Parts: sequence; C-alpha cells; structure tokens
Amino acid sequence: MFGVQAQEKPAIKPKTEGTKPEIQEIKKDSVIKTDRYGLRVGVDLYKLTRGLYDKDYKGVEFVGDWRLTKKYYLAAELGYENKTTDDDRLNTSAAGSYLKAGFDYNFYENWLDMENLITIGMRGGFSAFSQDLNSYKIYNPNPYWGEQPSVVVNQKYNGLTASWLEVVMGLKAEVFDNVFVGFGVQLKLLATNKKPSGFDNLYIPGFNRTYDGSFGVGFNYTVSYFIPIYKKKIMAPEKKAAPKKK
Amino acid sequence: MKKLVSILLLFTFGLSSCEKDDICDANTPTTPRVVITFYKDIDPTTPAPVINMTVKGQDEENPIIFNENGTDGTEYLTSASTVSVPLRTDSDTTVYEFTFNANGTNRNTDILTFKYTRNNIYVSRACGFKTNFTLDPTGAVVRTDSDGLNWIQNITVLNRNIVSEDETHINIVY
Repeated sequence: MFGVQAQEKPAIKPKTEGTKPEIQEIKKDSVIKTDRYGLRVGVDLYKLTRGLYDKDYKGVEFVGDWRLTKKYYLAAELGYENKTTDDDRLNTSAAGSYLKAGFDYNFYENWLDMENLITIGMRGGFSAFSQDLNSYKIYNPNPYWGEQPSVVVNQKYNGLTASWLEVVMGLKAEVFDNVFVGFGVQLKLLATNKKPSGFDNLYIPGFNRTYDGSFGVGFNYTVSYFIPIYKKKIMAPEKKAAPKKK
Repeated sequence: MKKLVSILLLFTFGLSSCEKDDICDANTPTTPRVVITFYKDIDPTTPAPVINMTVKGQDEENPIIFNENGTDGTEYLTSASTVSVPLRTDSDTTVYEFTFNANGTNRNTDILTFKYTRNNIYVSRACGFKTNFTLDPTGAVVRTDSDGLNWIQNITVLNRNIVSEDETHINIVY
C-alpha cells in the first residue's frame, strides 16, 4: 500500500531532478528495514577469566539467544562453577552445573539497520551441585578456655539442588560484524533449595552466594557471535506519509 | 513491559530488606554455658546467693570474670544464686575450682569435674558452629576436695542436655 504511494510521489518530480534523486525519494518516504533472525552464542568472560587470578574459583558460562519476534528473544545460559568460600568461621566449596532459560525483551529502538539491545527479561534457573564443608570454627561467646582452632572435617554433601527465578537487565552492543559484547545484571529469588541435613547451601552455582532471605544477585560480561539464519523485511513508512494517504 | 518493571521494582525492594548476615548476632543462640543454681541445705527450695565465690579453671591463671566493672580481684567475685560457666569445647572434661568466700580468711575450695559428650551443630554463615553438651548419665559432676573441708554438700543434675542458658542444668546445695 505504502509502496504504491511512494511510487506515485516521485513521478511528479523527475522533470527537474533526473533519475538519481528518485531513489532517494523512495527511501525517504518508506524505509525498508530488514530484521535479521538467528542464533547468538557466546561466553561469559568474567567467569572465564576469574579462574586466572582467583585460585578459589573455576567457572564457565555459555550464553545463547534465539530471536523469536521483533522484540522477544528466547534466552538461556548453561554453566559450571567450582568455588571455595573462606568465611570467618566456615570454609566451604560448592561445585556443580546450572541451566537458566527464559526470554529477553528488547526495548531499544534501533536506528536503521543497527542491532543493539537493551533488554529486560526473566529466567528460570536450576542447579545440581555438591558442597564440601572443609573446616569450621565453633562460636563461643564466652571463650574462657581460649578460642579453639578450626575443626577440619572435609564433609561432602552430594545430590543438592536449587531452583530460582531471575529478572535480568541486559545490554548488548554489536562491536564488529555479528560480534556482540554484553553486560547483564540479575536479581534472583530462590524458589526451592534442597539443603544438606545439618548444614546450609552457602553458595549455589548459577545463583551465587545465598543470603538469609531467598534473594541473590549476579552479573555477567559476555562476548557473543550472531549467526544469521533468515531475514524479515519490514517497511516502516514515515509518519508524515500517513495523513497524505487519506 | 510494565509488568516486568514492576517485578523488577519488587525485587529491588525485596533486596533492600535483606539483613546483613556477616556478623554473628549476639542474640543468636550459640555455644551455651552450664547454668548452676545454689541452694542452702536448710532450705533446698529457695535459691540462695553464694558469698564472694570465684570459679577458676584448673591450670588457668585467672578465675572467670563475673563482674566486668570490678578491679583488684573483685571482678572475679560473684554473690549470685545462679552462675553460668563455660565448658571446654575441645575436651569432654572440664575441671573448675569453686572457691567460697574467696576474698575472706575462711576461704574454701572444692573442685568440680564436669564430664559430658559434645555435639557440634551448624548455626549460620556468620556464627559458624556451636557446641551443645550432654552430661554423662552417671558421674557427670564429681566433687573432689583440695583442702579436706568441703563446702558443697550435694550436686543434682536437673537437665543433662545443655543446649541453652535459659534453664538451670545443675543444682548445688551448700
């Protein structure tokens, strides 16, 4: 419909301006945009590099998203973490894998054919892990007999699971062709948490450190590659063109 | 979209209500002391205050401080009817010297040996573990005398399980 109108209008002008401006006129009246659809896969650089300087941490997280519609993306993260936490009174390790899946909604209006994203999304997360209680200290508010040194136990708790919900705010910018760098922060709400008897889950891979309540936080810094699979053409007419139609 | 933003706000408010859990709160029940109540032999139903008693761990240099504000030895004295003393968390036996009238001329020391088993229980990230005690079923508190004259007449174990300081575990009649 708009295409027809666009062809009509330049028909008046060519008398003075020739053929070249004709094309410009077409573009001005109705912008033909192509949206690329496909799969974006990447890795969390923060987790990957943390192992280099933090001897108590090993971890990796793969990220991926699939563009469903113009603004909605299916998104998932798959990761593994092995972290030793040295608290004042406890030394524990947690190791395990996790999967998070959900969607992102891109509310950034791109100019022309740019494909940057500012997203808000949700995820459901699940982690299966084990925990090691390496050593602990006994809290004695009346240390008349002196502070007792750490008790080394090396107690392993297997078969632990946890699940949670996340709200994710993210940013992805295309820095080279099809290469994106991204940053995301997550607020998490623990839904289920299978604790070992006589102990607690102090760190859950994918969820991170636990607090007294069921909330948690996290972030990632990703580099990803976009694999285009198909294109959709969108013709977005300029707003001025609309009243003329009537 | 609006729903998502409101959920996000809800999360943020939820987070801000989180309490700091890195410091062990003094109100958290952790390793309990053994609570001893004293009675006089003429009236074994009414708790009776002791007179200037000190409690010193065997082979320890100083007695337990009962009065933080005391000076020149008075910080070790107690004239209460109920005292709480810490048991060793690294041994199944704790030996204390209970001295009656410690700052007077007619001082009298009795030695009490507490025998128990220990159970270490997880409390929290900030507090770590605590130790609960179970006094031995027989011979949990044994009195020996260093000076041939005992002031403690009778010892009764009221509660073998020492898990809190809210109740008396041992009655002593003098």
